Amino acid sequence: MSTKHKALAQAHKMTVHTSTSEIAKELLELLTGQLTALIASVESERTIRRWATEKVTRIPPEKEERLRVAYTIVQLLTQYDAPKVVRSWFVGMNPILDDSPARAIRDGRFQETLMAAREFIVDG
Amino acid sequence: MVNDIPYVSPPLDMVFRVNRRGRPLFQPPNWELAGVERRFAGRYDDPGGANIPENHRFRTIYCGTSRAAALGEVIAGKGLRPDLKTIAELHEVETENLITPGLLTFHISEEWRSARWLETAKLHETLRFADMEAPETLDILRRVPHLAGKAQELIDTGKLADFDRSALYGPHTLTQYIARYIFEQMDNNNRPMYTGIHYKSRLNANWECWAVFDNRIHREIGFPETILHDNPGLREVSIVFKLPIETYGGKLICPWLEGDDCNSSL
Repeated sequence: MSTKHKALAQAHKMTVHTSTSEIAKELLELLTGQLTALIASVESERTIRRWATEKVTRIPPEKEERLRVAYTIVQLLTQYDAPKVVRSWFVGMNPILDDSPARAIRDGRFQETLMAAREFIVDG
Repeated sequence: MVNDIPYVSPPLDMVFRVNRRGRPLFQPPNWELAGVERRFAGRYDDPGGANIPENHRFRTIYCGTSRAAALGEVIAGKGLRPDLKTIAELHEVETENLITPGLLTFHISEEWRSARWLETAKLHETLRFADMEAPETLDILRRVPHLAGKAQELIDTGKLADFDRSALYGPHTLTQYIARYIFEQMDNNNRPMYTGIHYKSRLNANWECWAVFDNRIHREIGFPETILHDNPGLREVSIVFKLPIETYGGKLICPWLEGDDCNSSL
């Protein structure tokens, strides 16, 4: 298996084997509370903090799915770029999505956003 | 009858391509990065994917006539310009603190520059590129039945206004089919007619770009360049998109302002 293929597989594996609270915690650290809240489609970053500290454990499945997609992408991109660059990518205008990856995940465009993330590491 | 698309020869000078530092020079992306669909998402990538055998597929190497073209296509084309709708929505998220410092500050970071370099190569002068800028090209493409059909599908679903020039900068679904059509064109001796596609950046009409089919490229590879903060191409991109550049010391410079001073009142 090539190094690059391993990168994709590793990102997916990390997501599958990581608890939702841990995912929320890591996204808080890397993407910030505001950005994670936008991606999950919740009004307040306090909600993300409650998930991260397990004060709330019943997370609506559609919101959890958004967090997991974002986390998979974070795991993939941070193998290639610094956290600051990855954060900018989530907020940037992405021509493939005609939107930002953050909003695209929030709107349920998971496969397209994963493809845009792959395209980011393909070249350049 | 469909006429041939006009072609142009590559530039006499070197072309430039941004890539991750350390990757093989002027090589196509690894298939493994194309995911299970075996398809890349770029404008002129092969739409065939896993539906056709790997030896019938092509990969595309994107490059620019100038440093600025190569850098601009990657910096803006890969989504490193701020999206204003997202920034507005971030301000609406309830937070106990002020918005996290740095979250909304967009610049060309030192980390971004140092992870990449500018590859250089001289494309062989005999190569022929289908010219998307020739006045006849669009009309020729519109007369290709399956391209017209694909365009109509996009029009019917509201993803495309018309099969006009804007379509060449629109959804990649159509432009990828155009790339496949161009790739499949053969001359009377059954030899490929085109090495790739010549087009202008949708971000800046002064930036000339080349999409090269990987299995038809003939080039002499030059030395890759480190992307320094004062690289003239990077400065041009910074000016066009008003994106500050971070220097090695972490200082931000704004080349569109007097003395590159981001605090300048100009």
